[in-house]
Amino acid sequence: MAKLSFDDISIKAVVTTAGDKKLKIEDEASKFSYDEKSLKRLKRSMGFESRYVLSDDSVCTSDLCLASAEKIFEGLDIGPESIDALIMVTQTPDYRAPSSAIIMQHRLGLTEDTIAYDINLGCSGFINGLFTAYSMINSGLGRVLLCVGDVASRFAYERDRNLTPLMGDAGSAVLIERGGGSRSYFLLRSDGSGYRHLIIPDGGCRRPFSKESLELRVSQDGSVRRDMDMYMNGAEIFNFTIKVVPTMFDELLEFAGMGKEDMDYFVLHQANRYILRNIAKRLGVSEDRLPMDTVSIYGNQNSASIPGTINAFLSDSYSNSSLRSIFAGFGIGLSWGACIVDTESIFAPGIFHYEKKERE
Amino acid sequence: MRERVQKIVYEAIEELNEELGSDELREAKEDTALFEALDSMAVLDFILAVEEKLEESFSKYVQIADERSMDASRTPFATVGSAIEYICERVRNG
Repeated sequence: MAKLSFDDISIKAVVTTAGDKKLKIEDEASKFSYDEKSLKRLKRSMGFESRYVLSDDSVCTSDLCLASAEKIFEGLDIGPESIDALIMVTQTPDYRAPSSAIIMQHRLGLTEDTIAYDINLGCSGFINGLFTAYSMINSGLGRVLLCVGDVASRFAYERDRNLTPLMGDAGSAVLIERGGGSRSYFLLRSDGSGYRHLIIPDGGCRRPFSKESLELRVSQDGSVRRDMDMYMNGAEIFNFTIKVVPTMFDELLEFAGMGKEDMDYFVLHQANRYILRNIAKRLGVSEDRLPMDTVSIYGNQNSASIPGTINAFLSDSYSNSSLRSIFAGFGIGLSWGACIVDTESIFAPGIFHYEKKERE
Repeated sequence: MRERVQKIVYEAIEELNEELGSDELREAKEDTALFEALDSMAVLDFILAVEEKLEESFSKYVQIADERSMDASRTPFATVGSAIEYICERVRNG
């Protein structure tokens, strides 16, 4: 049963770096063969307005996370030698092997005593990564750096009208430490029977990359993609979300012995506006407590969408208040999870955009 | 109550069809195949429009989307009539 609680562990900092290039949906409409009416519907239903991607193809998720981590070190005036573990949650690592986290250990100047490895997860990745960090601290470590994110714009084919207009690039760093007093609650779930509904079919050992991986496939709705690109069965993912997300909140709140009214914020994975609005209505929570604009401005930032939302829209609140929040992620795997955490005036500046010069 | 739901469903179809331009939906009757006439995004749009209108009309949020919504073999939106019956049930139980 994946319901667990932790005492005296807390989040101290959240920093997100998004892509530097803004793409407006109007400017991309012809690439996806949207006519004016379709575009209007998409904007209304899904909340598509713009997204931020990286302009430089040589920049990776780890570069975004690295920029975020360095902001934490600077903002909190802590040294890299104080980090005991670095967890990197991404589906877009630097290389197929080794783990990007280990390369980042060196690039950030962390000591050889640092535990470092990657976790391959998407939209539920922040919750699972946070759970891993809390578990490590519960086992005796003092300070864990969690890095989450994707250059998601690169794993969807540019003419995939179902997926590509959603995808934004972002990398977050989150600092978790021993201390903080309150109890945190986690609920995590997995259902591999739905693995085909969100998948990059080719390029792994099951279906190695071949020349067929590059063949363009046109679906009934006019979407174009290759088998080396991410595929999403939108209807199945919609069904999954509607089915599991609201009940996940009920279960977690019951487990914690709390009610919705005890939460200051519900920060959810920013899948699309419809899903978020639906969940907000069902929970009876207003939009000011359940932000839902991230996808409209930055795109779906995958595992970075929860920290990305905190930095982009709730920076003042998290920086200056004691808050109780529910975080929830759901998606590829299929995998979903939520947690209740208390924060006390953490380091949470507004969202940054990647600047190449930072790395030169 | 059925009349109110019926009005809402036809209004939502009419609004949606301003963009879709389907002859079938323009002449929609209760036995009109609704789900078949909509792509997945249009189904979502239909759900969204109906939920908003229900909230206005009944002063409460009624969720009509569930895991059957997008499933062609189980969707309650197969025809206009089945959609109306299903939505009435959701309003009653909501």
